[in-house]
Amino acid sequence: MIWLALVPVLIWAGKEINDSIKEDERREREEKQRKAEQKRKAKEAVQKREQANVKEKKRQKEEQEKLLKNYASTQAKILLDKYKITRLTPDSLATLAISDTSNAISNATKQYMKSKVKTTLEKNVTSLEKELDDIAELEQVIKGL
Amino acid sequence: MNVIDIDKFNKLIPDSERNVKRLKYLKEESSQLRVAVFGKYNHGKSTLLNTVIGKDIFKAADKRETRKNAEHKHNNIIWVDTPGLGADVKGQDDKEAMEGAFKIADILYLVHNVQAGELDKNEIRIFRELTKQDKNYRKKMFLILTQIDQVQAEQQQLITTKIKKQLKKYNIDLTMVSVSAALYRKGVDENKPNLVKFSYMDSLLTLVSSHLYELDSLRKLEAKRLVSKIRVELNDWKKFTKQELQSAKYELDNQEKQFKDELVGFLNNIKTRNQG
Repeated sequence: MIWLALVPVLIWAGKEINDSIKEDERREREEKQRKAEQKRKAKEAVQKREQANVKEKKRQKEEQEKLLKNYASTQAKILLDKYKITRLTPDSLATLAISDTSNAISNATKQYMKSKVKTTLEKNVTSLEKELDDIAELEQVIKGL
Repeated sequence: MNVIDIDKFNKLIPDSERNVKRLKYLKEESSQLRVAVFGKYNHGKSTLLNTVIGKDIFKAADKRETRKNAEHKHNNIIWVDTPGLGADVKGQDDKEAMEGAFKIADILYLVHNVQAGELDKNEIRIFRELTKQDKNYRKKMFLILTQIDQVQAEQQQLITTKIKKQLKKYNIDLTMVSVSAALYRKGVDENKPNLVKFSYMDSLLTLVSSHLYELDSLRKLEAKRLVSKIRVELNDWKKFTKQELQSAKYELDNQEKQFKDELVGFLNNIKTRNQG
């Protein structure tokens, strides 16, 4: 009889144990899910940070390129103005200076040869040479008198 | 024959313009003796010439009549009346008179009316300029004091002394002849030899006669001097032009080198910044 009286207790105890096991399993599952979620979120955060870093670096690079281009353009203008080179713009010389040095040298030198400074100096030389020829001609006239 | 192109000379040695014109004149244009009168307006230039010629060829008046050189041939001599100095405010006529007189005259009578007293600043300036043109000017330029009959002998003496001092001060050595055209005319018209004698016009005519005799040799000497002067000027200009050419060539090369250096410097600068 006593055993009979224990049956409900045992059933209850069994149920309790069973519930307890299920609870443990649920908790364990939840814990795994939480950890997985945490890991995913952490991974996402890392990815976002990396993306932000890449974006920032790109922005900084673009900013630096813009600054360099502006600086190169200003310096190119000073050079072109000084030698009165009008057929080459500061921007195009600046672009060449950043991207293609040998092309920049050949282009700028070619334009210098056509520049006002160079042609004026050449004209001056030609005119003085002609003047010397004229003097020689007059010397001959005088010599013949 | 070498033709003197005045424009070509002017372009290179403009300071020698008068010498070149005179040389061209001597070598290419005229073989006849030219006597020019030169001086302030209303100082009796035209009257003097008319008296020498014996006819009223040149206009003589109180107002300035002669605006350009006027010429008349008489006794194988061409007599030239130049515009009176100081009548033109801008001085253009003075310049033309000087240019013309220097170019064509074998003899230049610098005429000054003794009644005006000593020489004024303008006359001195122009006389100095003319005498500077030719170091042998004593054989070419003479100072003629006119209208001596209009002043007392003492006053004439005083003025002559003052003028001599003025000339000495400025280192101008000119033979002075004092004349009276009016006395000469009156003497000739009224057949009074004494008036002719004391007009001293004969001494003026003697000057011309002696010059006529020496014309060829004087002209040759003058041309030689002018050639030498022009040659020196040309030579100086040649030296100067050679120096100019040398520095122009240096500047041309240097400028190109400087440009290339600056271009390379610019490119290196950009490259360094780009790498940084």
